[in-house]
Amino acid sequence: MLKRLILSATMMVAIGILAACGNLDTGPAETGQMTDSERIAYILGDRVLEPISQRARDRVVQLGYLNCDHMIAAPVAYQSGIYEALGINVAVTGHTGVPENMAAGNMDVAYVLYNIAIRGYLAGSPLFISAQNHTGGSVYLVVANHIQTPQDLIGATVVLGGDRDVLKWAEIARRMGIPADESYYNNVIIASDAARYQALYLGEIDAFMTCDPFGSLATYNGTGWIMATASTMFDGMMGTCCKVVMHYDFANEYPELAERMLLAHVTSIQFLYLFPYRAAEIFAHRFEMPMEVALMSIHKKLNGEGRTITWDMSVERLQNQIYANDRFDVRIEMTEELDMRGLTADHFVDLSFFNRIDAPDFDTFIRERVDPIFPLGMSLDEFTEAARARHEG
Amino acid sequence: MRRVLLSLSALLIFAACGTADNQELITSDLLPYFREVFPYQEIVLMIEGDANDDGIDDLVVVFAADPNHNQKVTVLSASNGFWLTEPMPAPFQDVAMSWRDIDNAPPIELVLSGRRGMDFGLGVLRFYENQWVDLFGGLEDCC
Repeated sequence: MLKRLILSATMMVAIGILAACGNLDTGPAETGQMTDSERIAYILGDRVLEPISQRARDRVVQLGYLNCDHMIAAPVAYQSGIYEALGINVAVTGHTGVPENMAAGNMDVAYVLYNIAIRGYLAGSPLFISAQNHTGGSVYLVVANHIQTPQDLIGATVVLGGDRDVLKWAEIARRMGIPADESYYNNVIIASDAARYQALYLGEIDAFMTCDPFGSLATYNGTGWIMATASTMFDGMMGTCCKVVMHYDFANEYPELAERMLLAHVTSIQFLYLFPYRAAEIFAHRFEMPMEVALMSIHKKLNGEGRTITWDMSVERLQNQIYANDRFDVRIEMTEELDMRGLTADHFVDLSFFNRIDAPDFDTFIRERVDPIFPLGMSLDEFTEAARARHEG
Repeated sequence: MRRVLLSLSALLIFAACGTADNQELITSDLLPYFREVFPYQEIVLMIEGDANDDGIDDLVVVFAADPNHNQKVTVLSASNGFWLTEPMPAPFQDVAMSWRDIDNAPPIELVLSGRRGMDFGLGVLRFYENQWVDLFGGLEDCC
């Protein structure tokens, strides 16, 4: 049964109070041995940046990104000064409604879920997928402390979530051996992850699907625990998740800016992997979270769950992800329309701009520059210690 | 759809309306046809443009349906008269409208935005089969 849960304004305000329970870091501090400018120069190394035209320098690039930890490369690029260092004038214009804002001309570049991008494309939004951002996973089923087994969820009050969550819930439910069918649960609708977290904290619900930082925050504050993490492997085939999308007109009118934005994306991901403590400071500032929660989330994305933030785009994995919806009987209308119109991922993916920036090979970058410092499989404590030591020099 | 059929002669008088993209219209030659059906409603915002790609400008009007709700209606001009579309919900506050061709194909799309309290919305609307279609569902919470 589907019931609408309306949270009071008082509950919504309480998130700030809850966040303050931890050691809230209210802003990034320049405490390391390197400045952000030096870090960026270190990443770029001997790369020669071709000068961009005055026309391009004068153009303010309208950037959007969803309020989700998967999109951390965007705020890190913005806050650390990567865009500025690359000669790009960027304004952050929003965090929701990417397809319609692209169509309305309010966004040139955006970080968004793959399915939002595809459905926006199908509805006529003038966007294309220009680069990879996140491999998938990193969506969590957070449960209250009294929920001990998956069977405890049957009949419980849960937020199975919306479009972002539907496939991930189906995959988690199958893996945990409980039905995905919402009729087995008291499924309520709460739109934002923050409000879902609130509802769990107040005992209104027993479980919810979420991105970070709210999975890590629940763990940190003892509000609940992460029972399951969504996988992006479907029947042995690797899927994918969030993408960098661009407006066709922007990319075609300003190809040098389009390429420079993608170089900023790659540089920001390198920044994340090479300077995770500083990235966590930016994360804590951007999402108004305790530094400990930021480090938990950064650790999950970069190490605990693998190298999930990446610029290594695979059209085949995107196709796997699209058809995973069919196998789990969700988003049927999207795959049906793609089939009906004879569209495959190649129709809305254009890597030509990305291919011109001479990005380093992601796997080689990880193997040569990241593995020696932050090898896979580090515990949170090991990762935090190594990141802090590198930050403090 | 509610239909207001007027004489062919009226068309000759009102067919020369211009497009006022991104500009707030104070009046319009098409306004009397709106007023025939909605004589007393307060007008929030109007914009002219060729919604149905028939080569003749139309008028989109956002008006106060009641103290707590706005609605949007379109006066469609055609070669054989005038029509009013069925009113549909519109943003309640900070309403803005502009025309934008999002796909380089006719008809031109209408960008409608606004808010209700803290719920902001932005819709890209295309006139299709005699009604407005919100392409991305962006107006669900602001009306």
